[in-house]
Amino acid sequence: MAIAPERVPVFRRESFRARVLSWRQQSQWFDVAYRVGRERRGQIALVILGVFLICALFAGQIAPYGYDEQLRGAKLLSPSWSHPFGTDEISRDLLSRIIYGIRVSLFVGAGSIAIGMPIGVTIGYTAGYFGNWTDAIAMRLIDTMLAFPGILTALVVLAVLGTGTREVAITLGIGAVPVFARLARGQMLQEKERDYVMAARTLGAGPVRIIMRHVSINTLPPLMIQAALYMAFAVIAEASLSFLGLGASRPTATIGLILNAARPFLTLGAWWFILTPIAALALMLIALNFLADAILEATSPYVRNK
Amino acid sequence: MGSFLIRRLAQGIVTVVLASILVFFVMRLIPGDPALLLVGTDASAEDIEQVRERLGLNEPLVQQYFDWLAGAVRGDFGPSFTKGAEVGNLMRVALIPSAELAVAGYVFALAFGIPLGIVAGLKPGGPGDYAATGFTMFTLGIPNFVLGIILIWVLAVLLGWLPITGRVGIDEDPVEALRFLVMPMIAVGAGTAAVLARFVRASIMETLNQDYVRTARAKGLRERTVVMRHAMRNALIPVITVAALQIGFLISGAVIVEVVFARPGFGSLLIGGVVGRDYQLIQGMLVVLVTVFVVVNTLADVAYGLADPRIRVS
Repeated sequence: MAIAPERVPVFRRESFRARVLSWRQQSQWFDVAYRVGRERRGQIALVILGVFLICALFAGQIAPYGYDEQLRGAKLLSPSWSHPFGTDEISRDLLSRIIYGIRVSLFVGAGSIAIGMPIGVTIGYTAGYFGNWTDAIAMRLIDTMLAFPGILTALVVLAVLGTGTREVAITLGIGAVPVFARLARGQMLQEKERDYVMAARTLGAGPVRIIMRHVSINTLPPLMIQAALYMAFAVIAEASLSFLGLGASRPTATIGLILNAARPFLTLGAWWFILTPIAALALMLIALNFLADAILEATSPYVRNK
Repeated sequence: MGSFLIRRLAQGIVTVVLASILVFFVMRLIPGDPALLLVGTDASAEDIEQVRERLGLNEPLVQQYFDWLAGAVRGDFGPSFTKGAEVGNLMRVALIPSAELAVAGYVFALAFGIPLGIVAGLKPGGPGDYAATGFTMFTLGIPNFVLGIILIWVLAVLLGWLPITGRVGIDEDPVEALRFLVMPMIAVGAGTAAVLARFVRASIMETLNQDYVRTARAKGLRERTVVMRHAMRNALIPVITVAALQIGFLISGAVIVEVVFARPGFGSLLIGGVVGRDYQLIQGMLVVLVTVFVVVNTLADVAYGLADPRIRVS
């Protein structure tokens, strides 16, 4: 019996699903992003970070007022339709200031990763791959840097660079170097014993090619998780430093500066003045932590392919 | 055990020395002449030269480092360029309030975090587990200085239970001192408490799945004996390392929390140093903080080695 013409599979047009599948096969980045998007925590993280990213990129278009625009007769107003987040002590719209503040937080978070991750990972891979004295020197240096816990590294570097948003980003980027170097070295020590590295070497691949094309792809997920977690740390550190007066200077809008300005007004009952910046910060931090969780879930071989 | 101790001690000393070298030379990158900071801008060139000579700023850098290190070992960190006092004396004054806060915060973290983790780990999915998860989520989103602000708002402003800012010495009025200490203590310790709770929970859940726990149950021991005598002992050993590592972050967090609560101490001193670019002050304080951190970690490793003989061998 002949097959009915409508039952013959049609291969002319690639379906969207098939195209997604082929992208996933071609790029590990896309595959991880796809899997993160299928996790509940990943979805929450992507939505929050997406909204914040749009706020950061288009702050000028989204914010109803300028970050430093003083309005007439609008001192310390509680939330209302015209000022959903209220206004601050010198009559500025808090919604606008928080939107600009998110821009600073994300800039510092992303900037510190962009500076620290490539340098740290390169040091870590090199130390792990070559071993011996390269490793010994690099690890001594990294252990020494890690002996300055938390925000103390930042204080050392800021004393040299001076204060400011860009300086904070550079500072936290320097602080990221030992963190990523240590992780990348550990990954490299594990991976370089694997058969595929031996195979690549047998085929005549040099260290650069082995590290860049073979090992780096297999060690990507832990580094991505660390990047999300370090970004959360950088956002906290930026807020802390600008709260202390070591980050951006007035009248720039950052979460830390808004909180610093709000503190004396707590006793006057200006609850909106602290509540909204805290909420924005908390959402950002929880989203980044969720993102790290989702990447782990999405890339862990135990839960993968389920 | 002896060689383990010596090896660990040597490692610690090397780290402290390297850290002091790093801080010393990085601090010299600060632009400006410290002698000028010390004598003021209207001093004559001769005066400045004299001060430079007295501070040893005309010596080669490496010589300066060794001179400074020799002093630092004896507790002499040189004069502060901006505060008009010896760095050593400034730190001695700041030490008590800061140590008080750090110790109180740490005790809070241990006393709150470990029991919470135990309750959560013994009954995953129970109310204690939910409380632990909720608390962890809360501290993930609320950094310590923000928690400080929230505490001030709720406990001091809305409820009026506690004084807002400042400090009273324990020697002056112990009750009042504690009232001033409660909020900073929670703000400093909460993050560490959450880390400990999460770690203890995981450690207990893992231990309860071990064969020897099943054996203990199978031979008819009471659940309490199984948990207290068999599971808990093993589950809490790895906590030592995590708890010690947290001390560094606790100290660096205390620096900020002190400023939130306007408490005197290392925090305001260090931040004043950074703003004033007073490298003598910064390098002295950082070397002391790093030393504390390294000593604590070394002690933790030794304690871990004592508690678990397997560690000493590897």
